[in-house]
Amino acid sequence: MSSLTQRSSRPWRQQGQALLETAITLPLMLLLLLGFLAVLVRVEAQIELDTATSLAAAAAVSAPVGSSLSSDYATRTWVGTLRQSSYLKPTRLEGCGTYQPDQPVTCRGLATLDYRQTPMALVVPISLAIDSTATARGSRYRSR
Amino acid sequence: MQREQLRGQAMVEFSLVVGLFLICLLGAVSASVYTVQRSAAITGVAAGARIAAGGTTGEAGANTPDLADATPAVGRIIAPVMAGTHINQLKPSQNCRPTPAIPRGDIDICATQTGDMVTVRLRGKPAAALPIPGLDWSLDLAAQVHAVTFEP
Repeated sequence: MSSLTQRSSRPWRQQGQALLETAITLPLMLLLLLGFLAVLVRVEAQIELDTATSLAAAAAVSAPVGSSLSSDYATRTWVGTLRQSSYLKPTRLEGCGTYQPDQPVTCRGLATLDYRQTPMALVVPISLAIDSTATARGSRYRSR
Repeated sequence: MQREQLRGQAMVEFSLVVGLFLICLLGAVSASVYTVQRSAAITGVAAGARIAAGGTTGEAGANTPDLADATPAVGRIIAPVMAGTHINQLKPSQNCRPTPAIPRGDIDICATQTGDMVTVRLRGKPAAALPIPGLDWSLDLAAQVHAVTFEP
């Protein structure tokens, strides 16, 4: 009798075990996927910030020599390029001072990567400060 | 009979786990492909914006942004990673369509000028990306640069 009870209860116990295994595995796999996506978003945000800062430095050296417009050109370029993204918020652009002939202009861009604007908020519900530096040099053959 | 039932149960469990595993794997692959496409798109619009801001060498003059040459430059950069996607290079000063109006598998590239700023935009839905509910796989990127001005 006892062996009969044991035999009949075995599949039920195994079903419970399978359910428990699935309940543990499923969220783990989901977490892994979201974690993987979070890393991709981090890389992507860095590329976007690098591109915007690089364009800002290039815009800074296109301003007239000795003019304070360098900083204005750079800031407008930087903000204009970065504002397209919902999860990457421009904080500020440093440097990009007055352009002088044969002198490089260096810009440093700071931005906030907000994971809460993405589905990855389940894994990383944080904001992350990221930065990028770019240097540009104007053409030697510019007249002014 | 009981052994057959157990075997059937194992098969159902296996198919469930394999199905979930494949969904996760395809999701990761799809996200990777999308990241490559997005990176190429960022590089492309930045290169296009640099070209557009540089001015033309023709009769229009060096202070006129070269919008016509910007979109082909973007197209050349993104084409290798946009398999099966139709790339529309719009005419200069023509705006890209809004995202909902662009069908999947289509991408618009447009170059416009607003005041002294030049904008090169890429917008659309690549064909190669696998749609996953909750994740938006469309692309909407732009690079905006102050136009270069040359003084006589």
